Amino acid sequence: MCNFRIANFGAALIMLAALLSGCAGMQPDPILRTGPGVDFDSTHIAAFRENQDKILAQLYKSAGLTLQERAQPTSAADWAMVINAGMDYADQRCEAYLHALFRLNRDKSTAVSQIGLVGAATAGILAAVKATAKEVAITAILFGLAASTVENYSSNLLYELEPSSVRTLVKGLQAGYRGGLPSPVNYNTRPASVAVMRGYAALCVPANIEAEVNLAVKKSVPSTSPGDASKGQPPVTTHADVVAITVPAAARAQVTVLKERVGKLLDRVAKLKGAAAVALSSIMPLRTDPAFDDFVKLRDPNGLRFTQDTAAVAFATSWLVLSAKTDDSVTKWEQALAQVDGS
Amino acid sequence: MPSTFVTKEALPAGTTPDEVKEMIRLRIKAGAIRCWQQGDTLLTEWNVLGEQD
Repeated sequence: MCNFRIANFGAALIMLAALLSGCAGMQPDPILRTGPGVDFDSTHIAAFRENQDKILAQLYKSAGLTLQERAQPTSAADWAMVINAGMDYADQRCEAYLHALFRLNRDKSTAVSQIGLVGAATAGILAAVKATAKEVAITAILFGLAASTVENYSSNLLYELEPSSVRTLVKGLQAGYRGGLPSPVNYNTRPASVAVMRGYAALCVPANIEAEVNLAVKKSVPSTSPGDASKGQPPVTTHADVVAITVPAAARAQVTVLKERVGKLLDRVAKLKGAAAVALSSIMPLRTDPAFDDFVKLRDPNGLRFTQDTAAVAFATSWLVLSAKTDDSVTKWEQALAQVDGS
Repeated sequence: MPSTFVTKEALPAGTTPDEVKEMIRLRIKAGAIRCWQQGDTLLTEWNVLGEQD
């Protein structure tokens, strides 16, 4: 037994040593030690310019400009079209990256439930996301950003954030950037135009997104509802009331004379599965209530209640407690449920 | 698009604390993240479907 333990311990040590030696082999990018430096390297500058020439030549074509070789736009209007083409390209790469983040988030959840596939699936997804993030980074580098500012595409923070929040943040930054351009867009030199495109591309770079996420968190201010000791009500503090909608007034009847019927309705809705649950979404009671459209936009903006039974049940239970407040409205719910669950 | 939002329901005059408590319980049972009274209003926080998986 003792020999067995020693053997296991030895094996663990060997594995640890192998892992550590692997880490030691990971040499950081030299620029991390030296910074961008103060001396300009003519070789690097020549390569940078040649690369930029090629990119701009493609953007001229994307902008619909026909120019002689090595010629460049001469008017601000032409540069505006080039800037627009460059920003459209950056949009396309950014969209691919955001989509990859979304898929990572969703597929990761699925993979976790399929234990046998976790390793392969997660590795594959991560590889895909890293590849896409790398392309975004490269796009930014092509516009002249220092590599050291964009190469942390393997960062974990963005993989953990809710992808729709990341998307909202990035889209807000991009809309703000486009809105901040002069009207008309009248940059009439190559450096100025490239700087505009570079700034736009940088908005979707992982390092920038992470910085903006941190800034957004630091700047957020929660709202607080004071507690009321006489009602046993503790204080509530939240960031959630940024978007609030008014729905039909609460009704005492819902928790008095209608309490039992509403409770049964909730139980019946919760038991719905498959096609029956989805069918309820199509005959949702009290859809003509003025608050219904606003509630739909916030609760189910992607219409999942028409395709997923769990979403259909979640939507129906929430709308039920917000709308079933009178004898008439409870009756309408009972009639609708009878159509889908047959009871 | 936020990942949560809040619905506001005006509370009728004369609603008792027990009735408010029951309304809160009902909304939590219906899937609300949380529900609380603020003056004459009942506030309920909901998640956006598909964004809290």
